[in-house]
Amino acid sequence: MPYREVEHTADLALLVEAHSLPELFCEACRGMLWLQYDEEGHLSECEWRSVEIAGSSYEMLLVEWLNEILYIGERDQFRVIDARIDELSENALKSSILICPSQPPARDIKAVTYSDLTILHTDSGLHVVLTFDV
Amino acid sequence: MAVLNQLLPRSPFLYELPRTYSPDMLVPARLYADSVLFAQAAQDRSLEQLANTACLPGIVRYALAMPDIHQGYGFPIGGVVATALPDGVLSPGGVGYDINCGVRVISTGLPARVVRKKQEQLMDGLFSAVAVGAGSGGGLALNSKELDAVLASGISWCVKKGYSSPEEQAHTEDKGHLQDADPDAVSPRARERGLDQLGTLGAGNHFIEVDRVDHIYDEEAARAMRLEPDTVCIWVHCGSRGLGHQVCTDAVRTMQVAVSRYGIRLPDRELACAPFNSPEAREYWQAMNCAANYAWANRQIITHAIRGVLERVFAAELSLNVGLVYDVCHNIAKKETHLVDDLPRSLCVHRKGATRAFGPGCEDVPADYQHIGQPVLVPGNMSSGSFVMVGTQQAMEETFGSCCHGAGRVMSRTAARKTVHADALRRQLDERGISLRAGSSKGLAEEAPQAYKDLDRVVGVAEQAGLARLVARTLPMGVIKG
Repeated sequence: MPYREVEHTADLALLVEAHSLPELFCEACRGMLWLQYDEEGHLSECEWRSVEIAGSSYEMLLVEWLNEILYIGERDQFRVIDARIDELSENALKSSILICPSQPPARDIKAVTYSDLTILHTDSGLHVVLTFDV
Repeated sequence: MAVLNQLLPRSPFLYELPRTYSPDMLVPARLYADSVLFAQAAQDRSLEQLANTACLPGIVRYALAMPDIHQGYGFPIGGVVATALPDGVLSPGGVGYDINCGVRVISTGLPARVVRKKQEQLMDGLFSAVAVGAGSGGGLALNSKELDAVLASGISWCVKKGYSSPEEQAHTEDKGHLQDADPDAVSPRARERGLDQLGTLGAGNHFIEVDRVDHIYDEEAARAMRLEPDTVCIWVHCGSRGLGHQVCTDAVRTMQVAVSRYGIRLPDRELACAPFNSPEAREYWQAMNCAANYAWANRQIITHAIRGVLERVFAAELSLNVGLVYDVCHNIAKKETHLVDDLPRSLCVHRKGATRAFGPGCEDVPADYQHIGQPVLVPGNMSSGSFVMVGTQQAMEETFGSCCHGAGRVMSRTAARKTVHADALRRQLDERGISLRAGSSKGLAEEAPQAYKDLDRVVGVAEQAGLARLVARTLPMGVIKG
C-alpha cells in the first residue's frame, strides 16, 4: 500500500508515499480513512462533493484539507470513500470527495496535526509522515 | 539520540538538559523521572519534543516534563511551559486539540459491598445514560443562545440550570468558569460542533470508571475529600469534544501564518504560536477559555447523568451521598502568578498532559482544601487503579505548581493492537471482577493496561520529587471506555 501506520506512542502516525503531489494527497486521505473505519460495509446514495482549501504551503493545504474531510464526516454523518485532486498549487487546492451516509467511524480522529510535518522529495518520489490526534 | 548524552541527573528524580544542547533553546529543560522512567522516555521522541519546547519565545526558567512524559505532537505529553506576560508566546499546540481535557472524581458514600451486588445494573445504567464513542450528537441539545451561555460561564451556567450545586462548583478548578471567555471568538464551525455534544464522553482514552477506595495514605486529606476506605467513587475523564478540537484547529492554522509575521523560528510547526498580546493570540485565548468552560460543563452534565443513575439504582440505600471531590484540567494554558528569582511574575502556564498541583494555602485552592493543598487526580489504567494526591509548596517553587496527569503511555497504539486481543482483555478484567463496557474493540486493545507505564512508579517519583503527596489509591470495579 502507498501508506502504512508507523509507531507513535500517544497518537496515530501514517507514512504516505507517492509519485506526485496530487497522488500523495489522495493516498493520505485514503490512509486516514483506513485508520478511521474497520470495514467498508454496504454504502449507498453516495455523491461527489467539491472541497476547496486555501493555504500558504503544500503541507498546510494537506493538513487543512484532511481536517476539512474529518469535519464533513462528523457534521453530516457522511463517510468519505474516495477523493481526487482537481487543481493544486502551493496556495490553493480544489478537490472532489465521494461521500456516503454512514454510521460514525470506529475510531475518532480529533485532528490532523502539523507535528514534524514536511513533504520530502526523494529519488523514489514523495513521502510524508502525518500525525493524527486521537 | 544526542539528547540522551546531555540529559544529566541533578538529583535522584530530576534530569536536566542544558540550553547548550541546541542553539535555539532559550532555557534548560528538566525531566522528573527515575532511571526506569528516563529509559522509557528515551524510547520515543518525547525528549526531543521537550527540548523543542525550550525554544518557545518568552519561556521562563525551564521547559519541564513530568514523570508520565511520552511522545505527543509539538509538546510532549507531560510538558509544562511558562511564558512571561505580556509578550511571551501563547501556543495552541501547548494546550492540544482536546482543550481542558480533564478528570474529576465523584464520591458516592456507597460501600463497595453494596455496589458489588448491583454492579452490572449500575454499569448498564451508566453506559446508556452517557453517549460514548466517535461521532457527533447524543448530548444535551443546545440552541445558540444557550451555547453562548455555556461558553461564557461554564459551571456557573450548570448551577443556574440545576445541573450543579454551588459546592460542586467550588470543587472545580477555577470554579469551572474562566473569565476571559468570549463566545464571539469561537468560529461558527466550532459552535456548530458544540451544539449537541454537551454531556458526551467521546472516544480515545476517555472513560468513566467506578472505583473502590482501596488504600488511604493521608487520613486527614482523605477525610477532607470524603474518601473513605471501601467506599465507591467514580472517575470521569473527557474534554471539550468537537468544539475544542475545532478551536485548536482554527488557531493552529492562524498561527502557521502568525509565526512568520512575528519572526518566530520553531523546530516543529505544531509549536506554532504568537506573542500573548497579539491579535492572533488574544482571539485564541478568548476562544480557548470558552472551550475550557464547555469542557467543565461537559463533565458536569455527565456527573448529573451519573447522579441520576446512582439515585435510580441505589434508591433504597440510605448511604448514597454524591459529591464532587475535585475536577482538574490537564490540557490548558492559564494566566498565573509565580515567584521567579524571588519576584512575583505574571505568566502564561501551558500544561499539556500535566495537572495543576497548587500547595496548601494557595488562593486558588478551595476553602475546605486550603489546609491540605489542591487535589491532584492521577488516573492509571483500567486494571491497576488510580491515585488521588495533593499539591505541594515544592511544586509551586519548582514546576509552576504542576504534576503528572496519569500513568503515561509506554507502548504505541500499533504495538498494543498487535499485542492485545480485545476479547482476551475483556476476559482478564472479568476474572478480576471488573465490568467493562466499551464503544470500540479496536480502541479497547489500544488502551490495554500494558500500554501504560507503572503508575506506582510514576506517582512514586512525583511524591519523592516533592511535587505532590499521596492521599488515596482507588481500584476499578467497572470501566466504560469511549
